[in-house]
Amino acid sequence: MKVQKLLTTMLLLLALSGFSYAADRTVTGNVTMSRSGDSLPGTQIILKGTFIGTVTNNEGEYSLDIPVDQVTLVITFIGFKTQEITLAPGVTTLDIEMEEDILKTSGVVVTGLASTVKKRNLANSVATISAEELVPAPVQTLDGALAGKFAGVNVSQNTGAPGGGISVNLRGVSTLQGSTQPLFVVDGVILNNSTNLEGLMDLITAAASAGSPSPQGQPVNRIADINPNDIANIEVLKGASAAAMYGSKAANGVVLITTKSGASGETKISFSQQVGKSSILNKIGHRVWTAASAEEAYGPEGLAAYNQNIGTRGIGLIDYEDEIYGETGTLRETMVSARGGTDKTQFYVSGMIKDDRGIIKNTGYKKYSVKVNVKHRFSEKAKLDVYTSMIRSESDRGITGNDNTNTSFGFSLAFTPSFLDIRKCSEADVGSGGQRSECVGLKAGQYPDHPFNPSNPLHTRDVLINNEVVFRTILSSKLTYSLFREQNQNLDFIVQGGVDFFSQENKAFSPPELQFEKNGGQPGSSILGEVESINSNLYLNLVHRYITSSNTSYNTTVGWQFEDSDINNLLLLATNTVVTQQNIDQASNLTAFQEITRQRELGFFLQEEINFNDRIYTSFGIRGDRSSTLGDTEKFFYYPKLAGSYRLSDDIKLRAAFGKTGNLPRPRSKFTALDPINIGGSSGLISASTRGFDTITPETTSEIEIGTDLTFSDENGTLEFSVYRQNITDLLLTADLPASSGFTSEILNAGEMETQGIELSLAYNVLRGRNTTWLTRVNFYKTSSEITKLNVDPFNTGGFATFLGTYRIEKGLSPTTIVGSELDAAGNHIELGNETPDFQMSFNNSLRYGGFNLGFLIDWKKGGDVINLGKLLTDLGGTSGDFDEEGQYTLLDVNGEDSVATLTNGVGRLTVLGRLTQPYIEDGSYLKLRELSLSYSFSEERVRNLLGGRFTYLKVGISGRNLWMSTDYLGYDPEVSQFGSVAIGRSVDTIPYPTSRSFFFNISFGM
Amino acid sequence: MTNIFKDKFNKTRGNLLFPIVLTTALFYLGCGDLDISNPNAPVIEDAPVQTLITGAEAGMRTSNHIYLWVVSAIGRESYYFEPADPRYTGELLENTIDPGGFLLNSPWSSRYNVIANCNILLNDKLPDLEAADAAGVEGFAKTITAYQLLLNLNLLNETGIKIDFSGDLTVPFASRTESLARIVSLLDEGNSALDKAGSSFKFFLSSGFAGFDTPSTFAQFNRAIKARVSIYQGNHAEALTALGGSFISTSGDLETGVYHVYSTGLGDQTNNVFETPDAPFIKWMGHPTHEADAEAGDTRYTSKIVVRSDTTVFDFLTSTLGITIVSSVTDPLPIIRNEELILLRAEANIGLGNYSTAEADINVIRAAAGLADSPTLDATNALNQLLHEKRYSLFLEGYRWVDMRLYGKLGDLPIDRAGDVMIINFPKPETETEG
Repeated sequence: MKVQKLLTTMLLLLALSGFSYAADRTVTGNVTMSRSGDSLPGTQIILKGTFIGTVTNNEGEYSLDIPVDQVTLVITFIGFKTQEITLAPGVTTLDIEMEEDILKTSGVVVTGLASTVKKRNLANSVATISAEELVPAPVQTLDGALAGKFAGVNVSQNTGAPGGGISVNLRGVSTLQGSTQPLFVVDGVILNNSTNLEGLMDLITAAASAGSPSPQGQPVNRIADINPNDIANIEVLKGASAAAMYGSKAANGVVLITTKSGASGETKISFSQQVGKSSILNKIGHRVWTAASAEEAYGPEGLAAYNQNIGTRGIGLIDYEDEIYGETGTLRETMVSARGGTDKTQFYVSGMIKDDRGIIKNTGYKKYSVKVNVKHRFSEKAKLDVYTSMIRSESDRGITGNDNTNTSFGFSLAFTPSFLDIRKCSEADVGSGGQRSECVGLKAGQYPDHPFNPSNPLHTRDVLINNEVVFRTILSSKLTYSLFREQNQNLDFIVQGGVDFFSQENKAFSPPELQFEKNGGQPGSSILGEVESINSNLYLNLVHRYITSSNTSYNTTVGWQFEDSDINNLLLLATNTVVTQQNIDQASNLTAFQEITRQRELGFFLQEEINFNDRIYTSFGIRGDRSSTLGDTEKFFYYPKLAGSYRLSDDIKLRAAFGKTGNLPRPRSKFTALDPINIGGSSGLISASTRGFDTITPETTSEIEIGTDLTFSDENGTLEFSVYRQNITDLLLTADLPASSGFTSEILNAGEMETQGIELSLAYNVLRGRNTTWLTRVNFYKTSSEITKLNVDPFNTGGFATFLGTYRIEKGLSPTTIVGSELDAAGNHIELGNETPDFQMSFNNSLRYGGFNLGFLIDWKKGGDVINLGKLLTDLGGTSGDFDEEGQYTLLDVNGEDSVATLTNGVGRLTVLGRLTQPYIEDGSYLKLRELSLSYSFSEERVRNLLGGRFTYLKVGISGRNLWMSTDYLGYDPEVSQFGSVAIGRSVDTIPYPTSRSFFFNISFGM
Repeated sequence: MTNIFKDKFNKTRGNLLFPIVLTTALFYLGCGDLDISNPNAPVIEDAPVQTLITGAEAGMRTSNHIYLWVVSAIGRESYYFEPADPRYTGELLENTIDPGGFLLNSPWSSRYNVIANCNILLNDKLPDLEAADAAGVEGFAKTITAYQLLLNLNLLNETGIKIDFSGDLTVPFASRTESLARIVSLLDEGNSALDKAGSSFKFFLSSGFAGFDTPSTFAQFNRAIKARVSIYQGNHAEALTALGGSFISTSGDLETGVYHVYSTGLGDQTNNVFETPDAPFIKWMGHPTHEADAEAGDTRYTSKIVVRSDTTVFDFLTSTLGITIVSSVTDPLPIIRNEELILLRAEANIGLGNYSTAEADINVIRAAAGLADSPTLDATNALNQLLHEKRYSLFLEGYRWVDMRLYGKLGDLPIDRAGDVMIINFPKPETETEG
């Protein structure tokens, strides 16, 4: 409370006053772009050391009164290099040419909830990206567009299913079981990036029933809804030192997204159309069967099928990967936007329609998005920015991933040998002379039952529905009110708030005609899931800026934060449905689940930034937060930060920063509750399996980052280098309890971890002619973590069972250590691999020659192991591509000694299974061509001739995403996570939706 | 064009907006109540006795299907062909049991979860009840606790189990003998409590306890379980005494007993062991020896098995036997029934050397199965005859492996594949051991 009193007093002491000054002369002129000579409306011209200034009008003209003692102008415009010009005495006209800032060295970066700093003074490494670099090739989801773009930002897909399912991890592992995803803030609103109804498809696949109770739907994280094309700029606050102002929600970093806004001037309209195709990126291949192997694996029935299809019918082996994943999906995206406005009001509106079909029949993703951003200046003092977007996204994802009923495509195919024909029966097959024994008694157009598996995946694909529709509205606004303004100081009151609302509806239907449904006791399953989520937040800020005559500026921010989240999850499962009726009331058995999540936070924030003549910059601040999720809801937890930078010269900057952030427990973690369980129509309650922790505190991350930013070759090259060390304390853990206590686990704050890493970003403008430019960016980063303290017994987590590969949490080990059955002589687990890669590197290039533009992004992950259970499944089904190839396997001889034998891979791996897990742990290194684009822009003159009117640009091109991958990994993609965005236990492959390659033709034109 | 930065900065008048907003903000910051109760589930203090009893009864079914698949596979009564999980045909038949795996831990933890509910009843709820009501709840809770412990002891056997529920890892496992003694004392304490519980319970049970839902009839269920435990202890005379207090009846329906019931109602469980026996691929299949060893005309065989037209080969195991012990997902599964009690009496009498008494009971069972009388029993053949009857009478009810182990006859069970082994004891679950 003392802090608050102090703040109040301090604020009320600030007197409200105004000022005026004596003008010596008036300077006028034009501002133009150096390359094209076009005028540059909206350029800021400010008198150095003051807040006096102006902006150019629609024609690029300005006029500014110059006082006697001020003679230096600072000219800034986003995307151009900042200039300082000292006026010679008597000068009254000054035309200015602005040079493009290709490497973005003179931008500003957000440092507080309502303040920014010039990038060249920044004391942290903050990765930024602008619109054109974000989406060179169409992408379904925003998070997908981030892959490979930043150092220290690992963007990894969990599944290739339409609509995404992507994990974004900043600076490695920062938690063991807490939430792992960064905080996404779009135009000031904290977005709900949760994954909802995770266990939905588990109701059909029973995936979570036996080995692992974790939900396994590989669901979409909701950041996917945002239209990437509307984004103007993204800033990634990677570590605690940069993200401390977001306090208890920022342990995984913060991604700040600013959407496009209008500009004064004539209304400009842009249109773009993309048309493309997708196809499977990588196939895993299939075993080449013989009559003998068919009989060995599937008995007399296998031999009969082989003889029928390979012998009598002579149809050869069937490529089932091609049958299921062989579709070439059509991709379409249409985008229209308009921007314009007057001095007082500016707007940006956009609309997008996207319709992508998947590489599996009946799968796809659609998105419709409308956005309206308006900025309005009421008076000299008040300014209002309003951002709205409405989105409808829809995905059809089929059924992939882990499964205990052998229903999912991957699982079913693993048990579908290629000599078997489970395709639709034709007229000829079912007739009297039909050669397909499996079609006897069926009608043409029906699928035969699968003799070796509980489901026929081709049939499942045709009739199973797994549909998700999201309606989302994101509204935010920012009111800036100038309380007073003087020549050298001003005080603004900024209210920023917003609401993120979505309703998600999931419908899944597995009709009773399906083989696995027929076989169960309750044929036909219909699932209806509904989620309603409202996130809202309100920030009140006071920002005071003060500049001294020696050009030292002080920037003080005080703010209050209110954050609220309310999510209602409802899930209804109906079984024994009436024929093909999907309505959940037309079934004999109904099961219902509901979970409500309510969470509220209150906080305050105080920050001081001091900039000594752009040479030395320092910033310190503190945020205090209370949260409803904590044991003590009255207590403030404090998150301080401290940072400084020093520019040795214009080209060399040294920087250091410290900060602290938190990770909140889930709202239910503090409760020990009773779970509902009914029998015979009576409601019952049973002791929960997890014991809550009623004094739970946040997990906290303290980070120290030091680094240097270098500019070279006359600002044509930049190099950023950072090292960091994070110390994470009060780790939130769900520790195993002896089940004899009635609980199988409890939630605790019980450990410490250290994460460290280095990041290197090089940008170089290799060629910079008038007609030819070549810009290259190279990012390199690596990270490593170690558990330094564990108050509970070491334990295994993730995966399905120890012998199927799991992660070891033990003091002294990296938390991403993969272990299995193998023990050393002392009985300790032997490390079999580690999910964390040795390093990651990306190469982003952009070349321009005349009207031609070529861009490509190569992403390289070196090392990082994956538990490939997909291979185990195909081994069990005898269908692995390398099943019959030979390898060396360590067996136990009769005396229990190791003996190395040469066996076929399939037999070898299965023989050692249970004793050795190593054969299923694989190196997940890859080299991917993530993006490629080639376009041609017509000259303005040609465009005018071709299109007439006010059109100024026309661009045609081709682009592609995930066009090529090189990996030794024997699965669809080493970038995989069966368990979604969990902290530990990601790299587990149980055959997800395969990654697709997409290729587009595009045309865009506008003004 | 208006220049917004131009030099006309009039004196700002004091405005009210800012102080009002600021004051409101500080007020909320200081006083905002963030204490949100759990919207999803009640806490122990709020739970009525009835819901905890219902919860305990309902929870007894959790993982019961896994338990049956596991013990029936090890007892070579059946296979569980699960393409998605190699453990049912791997771990259970050819390896040692994974102390961290679900085949052990799912049943183990589900049983102790029910016991936790019983302990909430005993420790938190009894003091607020009237004496007779409390005695009824105590009788229920102790009987159920004993039965749940027994199921876990069936898996771990000589490894022993935890009879201390504190979760303290330093408290050692109780040996098999100690565990059985504790189970017996819980049953006896429960039985005496039921004696003081009046003529009816103040709570109700599901239809699975139909006929056993008053203190006196619930006590018959308690004695039936006691009889089974006494047999496992080798206390044959005590078993006979217990059976005297049970619902044993040679003239009654052999199916009479206590059951797990299932329904498709909201929040209820369905019977997971059911599969359509003639589906193209089924997972739970009979062991071929069950067909080979069946006597011609034994309705216990024919009613529980259907021979399928095609042979299923899975993981080098072969079967043609579909299972028909239940015919829908809402069919019940027995906890204990009259047929077992008659066989337990025969078993006790064989243990005591009363072969002719045993023979009479066995013949009741055989007659019901449409079979001729058994050969005359004596010391040389009685036990094997009894085990044969139990095998077919109680097929897939979870006793074959336990019975063969009790008499040291696991070596008589068939081994299908070279390298397969016979598991005798499950290990201590990983979470119950230090390190």
